[in-house]
Amino acid sequence: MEKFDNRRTFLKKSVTLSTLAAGTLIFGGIDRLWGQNEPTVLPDLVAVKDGEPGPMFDAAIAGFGGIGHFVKPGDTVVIKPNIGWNREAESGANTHPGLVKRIVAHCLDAGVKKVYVFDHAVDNGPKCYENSGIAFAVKSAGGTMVPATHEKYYQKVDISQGKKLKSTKIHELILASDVYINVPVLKHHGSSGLSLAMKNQMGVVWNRGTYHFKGLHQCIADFCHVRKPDLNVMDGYRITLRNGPSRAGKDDVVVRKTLLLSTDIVAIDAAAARMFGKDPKEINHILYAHTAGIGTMDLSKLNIQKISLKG
Amino acid sequence: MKVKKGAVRALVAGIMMVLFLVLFLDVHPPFTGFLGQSMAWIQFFPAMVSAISGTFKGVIAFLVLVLLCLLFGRIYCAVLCPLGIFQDIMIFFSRRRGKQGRKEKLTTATVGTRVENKTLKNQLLTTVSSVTTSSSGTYPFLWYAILIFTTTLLLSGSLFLVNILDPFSIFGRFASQIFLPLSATLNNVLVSLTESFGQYVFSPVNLRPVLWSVFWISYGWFVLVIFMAFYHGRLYCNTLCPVGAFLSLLSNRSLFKFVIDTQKCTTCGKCQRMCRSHCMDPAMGKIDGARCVSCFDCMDVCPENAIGYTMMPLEVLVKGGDYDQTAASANPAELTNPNLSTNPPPPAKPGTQGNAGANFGDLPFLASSVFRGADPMKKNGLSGAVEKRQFLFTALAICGGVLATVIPLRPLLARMARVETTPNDPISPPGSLGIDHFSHTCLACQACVSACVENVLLPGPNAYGMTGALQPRLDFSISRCAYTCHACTLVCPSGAILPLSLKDKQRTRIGSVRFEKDKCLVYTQKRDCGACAEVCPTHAVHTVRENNIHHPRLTLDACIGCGACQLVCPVNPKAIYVVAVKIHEKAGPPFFQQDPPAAPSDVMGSGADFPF
Repeated sequence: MEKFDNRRTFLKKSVTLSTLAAGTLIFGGIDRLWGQNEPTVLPDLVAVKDGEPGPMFDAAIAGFGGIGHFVKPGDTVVIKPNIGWNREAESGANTHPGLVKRIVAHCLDAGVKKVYVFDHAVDNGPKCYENSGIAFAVKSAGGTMVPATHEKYYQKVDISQGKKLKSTKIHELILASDVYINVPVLKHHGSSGLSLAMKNQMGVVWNRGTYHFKGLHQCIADFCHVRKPDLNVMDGYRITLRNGPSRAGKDDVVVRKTLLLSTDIVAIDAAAARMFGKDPKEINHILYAHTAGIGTMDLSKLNIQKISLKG
Repeated sequence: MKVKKGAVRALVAGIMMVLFLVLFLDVHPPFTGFLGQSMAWIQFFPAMVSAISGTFKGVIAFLVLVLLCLLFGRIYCAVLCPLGIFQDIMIFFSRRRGKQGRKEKLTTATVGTRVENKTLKNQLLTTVSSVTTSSSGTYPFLWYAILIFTTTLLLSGSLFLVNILDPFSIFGRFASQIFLPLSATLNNVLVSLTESFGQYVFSPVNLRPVLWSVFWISYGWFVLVIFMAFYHGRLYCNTLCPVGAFLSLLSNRSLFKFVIDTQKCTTCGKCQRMCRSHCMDPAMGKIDGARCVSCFDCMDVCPENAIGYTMMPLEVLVKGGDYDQTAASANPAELTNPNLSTNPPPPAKPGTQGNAGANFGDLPFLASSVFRGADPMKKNGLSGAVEKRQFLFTALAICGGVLATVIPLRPLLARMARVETTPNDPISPPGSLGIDHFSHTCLACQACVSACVENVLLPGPNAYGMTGALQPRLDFSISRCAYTCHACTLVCPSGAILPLSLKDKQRTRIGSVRFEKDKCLVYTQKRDCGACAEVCPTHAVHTVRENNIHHPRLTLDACIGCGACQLVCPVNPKAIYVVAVKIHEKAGPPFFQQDPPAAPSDVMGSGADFPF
């Protein structure tokens, strides 16, 4: 009964707070008129290169006037990196722990109440958390690692706008948290071509199998109707070129020291695909999401801020 | 200060119990691995099976155990057997409860009237002993029949009865089928409690799928053992346990034995009431070495210090049995108990129980008592030489009988086993060399099952046919064998799963992948799926992009049969699945596709600008 109440309060809270969050964005727009901290024109996409993950994030988030643009004191934040594989940080299979750590630190500096980090791993969950180095990084920054390997954490949501994915079970924190930050890693993927921000969101659902069964690309695009991330940070520090997503060899991973940051999940995926030397249209889920109006893959119309930290 | 030997024994046993729980509950993986490997040195059937499978370590370990028993009696049952210690814990609770009951009784009974007349008291005790021993049950026929059947089947190549009756395995199943799910449930309750306060501190554990047949066998034994221990002490060990039966044959001839000093003994009967094995017969001045599990309780409880743990003279060792009949230091029993010769207690069950004090262990072997219904009085008169001959004959007869059964049975059993397994071979864990080696050496103790964090190893009720029962196999419909894990290979006590380094395990093929194009979504519906290729750790399953669709392809040489592809394949029946390889092979290196989907120079070459 208590759990039920909790769930109800979660939902209520999420509705209220997401409305509030939307409100903040509007007010943020008004704030811009006076804009002390915030830049006068917000970028749609920030692309940073030639730095370590932490400093690159610092530079990218500065484009929005700091993480305060997205989080308010007292908020709860959920960060969803890619921790799908029981592999070490150097493998490029998971998000760089240094990046996750810096995002957690930024959020806590901004005075948020709690920062949760989780991923529904493909390999053994607790081992992935540990061996990826992310558990240590998050804990040392003051964040909380949340288990995701048990069905009890997942709640059913209906996706009325979904074409193939009509309903699915998603992690309670995605629904309950005030701010949702998606932190994928750029890598080659043997089944979807590339694993990017939208693909990374497969780690918040319980039953991934249905995606494959119903149509991988369409389901990935459909899921974006549930809750779009408030912020997407693409880790392009190490890029898996082939034999991805999980067990690429040493020769398959290159260090490129890049980072993308955007509020538009389709735009960031399109930019990442371009970086990989692919036309975004070739990656079906980017195309589907673009046509569904979730975001835009037309980078020419966007305000892109490019930063190089070299020298 | 007098050191309580029983307490010391209990302490050692307690420490062992903790170690067993650490092993079977997989508390700390590296240490569990060490424990699992060491268990073969001190556990009877693991050592025996290991010896039969031809390992030097097993032969040595088995001989050490035999020697231990020949020297010190069934000390194995007292401090090394997990099921024995488990029963002792039950007996401890039973005694605590009994104490309260007894106190009430004592107040009403005639405490003050000590029976001064020793003869009368002896008579009393003798009748009592014959009654108690018969009611507490000695069923040598059953006991040794179990031993004979178990060893016959074992030698003929079937571990069926060993799997079911080995005390080590039985305790292992208690742990994996009862304790482990219990602790997992407790853990999950704790998780729910902390999370109801909004704290994510602990991780919930996914409960293993329950195989009801295995569960009920384990649970049935659990209830049986607890019941027997609670009401009848170590009756289980002395009627149903094949290890107990085997050791009893040796312990009766052990170098060190418990002996009642009939001169000091006041026949107060305290030891008899205390004895967990019902092997004390103070009235006769005898202790049945066959059933005694060397718990030392009698020494602690004796108010006269009349019970000693002493070295036997060689003469007794050869002859076996009653010390006081031959030892020069002690008086013959007839002198202390003059009534006995005139008033022998009635044998409770003629034929099966020829022996008044239920001292069947003093017979050379069961055959002579069981099959001829020997009279103890008559036997006492036999000379050592005759006994020795009899012993030899019986031993030879048993060996011959066993072999006679084994030789025709062996091919039959092998055939039965083969017929059973052919249609759908079980997949045996990595390190087990193959189905045959595994099924002929696995004791079904479930140590590997407890160690498997992926829950892919499950005790198959009879996955391997008649060669064994409850031996584990991998079930890819529930989970898959994780590429980065080799936990199960480290804990096996019987050598059924040999230790593999992670590197070797990652190249060990336990099964081989099969792909049916006409069921695969990519081919039938012409769209991306690639679930199998995504999870394949060695790229034995990989995709090739054609018309912007990723098609699964196989490189069989790299496949290790981990089952990841089968688990995630979204269609039913599966388009991709793993079949067992009968003898495990060394797989080729992981297959990396070399023609790049994106050349390194294309992707943001050094110094390149963002291409947007």
